[in-house]
Amino acid sequence: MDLIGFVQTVASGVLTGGVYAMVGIGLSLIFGVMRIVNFAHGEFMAVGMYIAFALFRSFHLDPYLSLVVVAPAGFLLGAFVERVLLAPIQNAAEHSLILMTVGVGLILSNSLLLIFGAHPETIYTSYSTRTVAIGPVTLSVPLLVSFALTVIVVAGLFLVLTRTDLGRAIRAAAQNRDAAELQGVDTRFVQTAVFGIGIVLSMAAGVLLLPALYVFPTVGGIFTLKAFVVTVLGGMGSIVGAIWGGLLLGIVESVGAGLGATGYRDAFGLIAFLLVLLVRPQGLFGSSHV
Amino acid sequence: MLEVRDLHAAYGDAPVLFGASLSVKEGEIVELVGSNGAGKTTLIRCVTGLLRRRRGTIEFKGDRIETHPAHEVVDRGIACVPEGRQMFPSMSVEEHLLLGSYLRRARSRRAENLSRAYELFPRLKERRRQEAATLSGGEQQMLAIARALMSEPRLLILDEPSLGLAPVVVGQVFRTIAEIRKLGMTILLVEQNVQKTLRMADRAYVLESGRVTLTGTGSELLGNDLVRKAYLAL
Repeated sequence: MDLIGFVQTVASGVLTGGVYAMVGIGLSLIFGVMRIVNFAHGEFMAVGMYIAFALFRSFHLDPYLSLVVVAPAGFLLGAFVERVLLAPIQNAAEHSLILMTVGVGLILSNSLLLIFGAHPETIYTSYSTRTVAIGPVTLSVPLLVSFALTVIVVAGLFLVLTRTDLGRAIRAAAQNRDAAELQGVDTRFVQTAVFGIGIVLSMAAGVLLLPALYVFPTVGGIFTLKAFVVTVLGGMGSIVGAIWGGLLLGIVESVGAGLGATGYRDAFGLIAFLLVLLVRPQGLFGSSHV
Repeated sequence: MLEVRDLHAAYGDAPVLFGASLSVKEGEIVELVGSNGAGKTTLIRCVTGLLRRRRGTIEFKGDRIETHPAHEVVDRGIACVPEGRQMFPSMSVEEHLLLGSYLRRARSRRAENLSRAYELFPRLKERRRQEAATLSGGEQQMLAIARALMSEPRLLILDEPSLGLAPVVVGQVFRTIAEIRKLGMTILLVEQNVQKTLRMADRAYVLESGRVTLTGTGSELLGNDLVRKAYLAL
């Protein structure tokens, strides 16, 4: 691989990695506040992809515009799952919560199978294969747009978390739940809101990846795994860590695939994951604070 | 103002309180004394709504509050400086104070209350951008008190504010409490440092093994032989 090829590979890795980061941030935020690892995270993402896919098929709605529908739908779906399925067992043993999220994931992916069938689907927009050249490096337009939207969403999330009362309440609940209650924060409500926000991030990431990926009912499984890798790389519960974890995973996968082993793309990410865990088991940014 | 009657509480299968009762009248400073494990913090957790009581009633300003969640109890006007200060380690001093005024009813006077807090604790103003984890124990205690005052409480509960602090700092904390008291605040103070605080208290209760065994004015208890033996080692 020559230098330009390398820059090219890293650049597209960064673009994909940004979207991975968004999936990971959702998982990390949920873990930070609720101490639950959401094993249905990728399946929610698949639901987001299919909503955008269905809107495109039926109404020719541009996938990026469908975010306007997917984001509120994601919040409601997440809040519903938290209130109805997770809240009643929040004081149960940890494995009960894990089994519950795994079960939610199975129901989601099988519902998608029932509705859309098992065959991979894809959408074709006017810009699906379009590229722009920045010097000698060419970048895919859909990935660039997705990356730009990711940056906007993540920056917005940061502003909310650091500048608003709700954001401070979320961080307080993550750092010391009883103390947050003593300041008048309804931590039960915060948990519902956080799960909703986490699912919005996951489903929105699905929409952003739709122009670049095939969608099939079990596409979520590999993304649950990737989200988990991103979060552990960055340190469970750390949002900044999830950003770096996502970018790192995107670059490693891209460079790995660029070395001539496209089929082993996912394997490269997991190998990097194992190496990081061997050296720094607490993650690169080992901190559990949102 | 606060009326606790026949309070029973437990952690899982381990009972801690066996019918404790106490009352705090408007404008008073009442002290709750007792050795480790007597149930002081458990009683406070029940009053603030962090722990569900098993039996008994808790009345505040005439309303029953024993089944209210903690965030509603604060809204009614009971603020608590919890045992061990309970900071948000990676949030700044100012963010703690903003959280203290998270309640809708306290937000409108947030700016005023913030400058009042900085007047009362100039040290916190100097450190307003610093994360709580980097503060000294005494500074954290001041921040916990300032944070509690931001919600404009009618009753301030302080759970062992001198715990783990150097003697010089303990003196500062108690002077601060006396100052807040002068501003007209009703205070329920839990302390083991009886010698320094009983003088300041209008009334005090001694809690032993989950029951109130002794009550009287601060100076009465200071003169009581049992208290002198048990808590002052005289």
